[in-house]
Amino acid sequence: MMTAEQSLSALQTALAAEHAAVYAYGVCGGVLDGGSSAGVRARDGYLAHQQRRERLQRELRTLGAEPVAALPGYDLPGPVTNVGSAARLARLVEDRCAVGYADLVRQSTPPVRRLAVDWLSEAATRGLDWSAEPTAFPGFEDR
Amino acid sequence: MPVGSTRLSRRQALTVGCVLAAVPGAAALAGCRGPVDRAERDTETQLAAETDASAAQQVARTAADLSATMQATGRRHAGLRNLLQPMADRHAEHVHAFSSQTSPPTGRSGRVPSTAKAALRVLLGDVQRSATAARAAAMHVDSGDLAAALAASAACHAQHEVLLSAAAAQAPGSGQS
Repeated sequence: MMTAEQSLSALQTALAAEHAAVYAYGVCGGVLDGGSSAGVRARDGYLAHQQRRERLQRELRTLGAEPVAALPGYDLPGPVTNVGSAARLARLVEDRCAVGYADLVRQSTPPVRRLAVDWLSEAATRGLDWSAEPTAFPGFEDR
Repeated sequence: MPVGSTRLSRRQALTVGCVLAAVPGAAALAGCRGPVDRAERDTETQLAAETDASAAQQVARTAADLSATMQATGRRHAGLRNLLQPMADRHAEHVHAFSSQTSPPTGRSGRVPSTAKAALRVLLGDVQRSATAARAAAMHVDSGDLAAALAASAACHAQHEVLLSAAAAQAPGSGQS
């Protein structure tokens, strides 16, 4: 049975993932042609993660917690210079977010669980947009 | 990107001994062996466990039917086999995760339409209904581990919806069965 402390921790972890996602999609958008399909996907991803970040911050404040802040910068797994490397980063971002939302489902009760259930599916399908392989249990260890 | 969440083990989802046995009292319902001290469980916990086990079994039955229908569709429409067999395999993983070790359900295929486009549309509807059921189950079960596994299976369904929609849009055929 989850505790309030565990729920808060899972929310903070999900928020940290969203901070990283916003940063990463910003990097992707910076190297992609804004009029290309990849550029449009990157902008859509940026906006979606921005909205989730704000929602998570509101949820945490409602629970009396101070939302974790974004880091000044993030270590990317490699240089992002073209569509291929942007797609790799976006896949990683969506996978990390899926992990965070699976854990949030596990650690939360409604209505937060509802958000996490929906966002886990969104992360899984957004990953497909960047050519991720489907899996039986997105957000779970894949081995 | 320091995202410090703990990734849930896939083995956790694939082993009913973990998913259902993580639910207090559900191990017996799932047919698992092991010491279960029923005397230490109160009625409320037992009822929650029974509800969780029942929800998991229902999702397993639906997944079994879905997997069987995908395989039957792949047999009738050979051009769809490469798309559908991996999906059928993933739904079979759901069956394994959510069903009893002693009596996993055997899936029954629905009728397969004669055109690929119509067959894909039927599958798409099946997947959408199954996804809705998995999401609802994830919301209502008591166990957090089971909820996470159900939500992940719903996310897999969502991926299949995307792939089936794209394939249906490109498939030849009138769309009529």
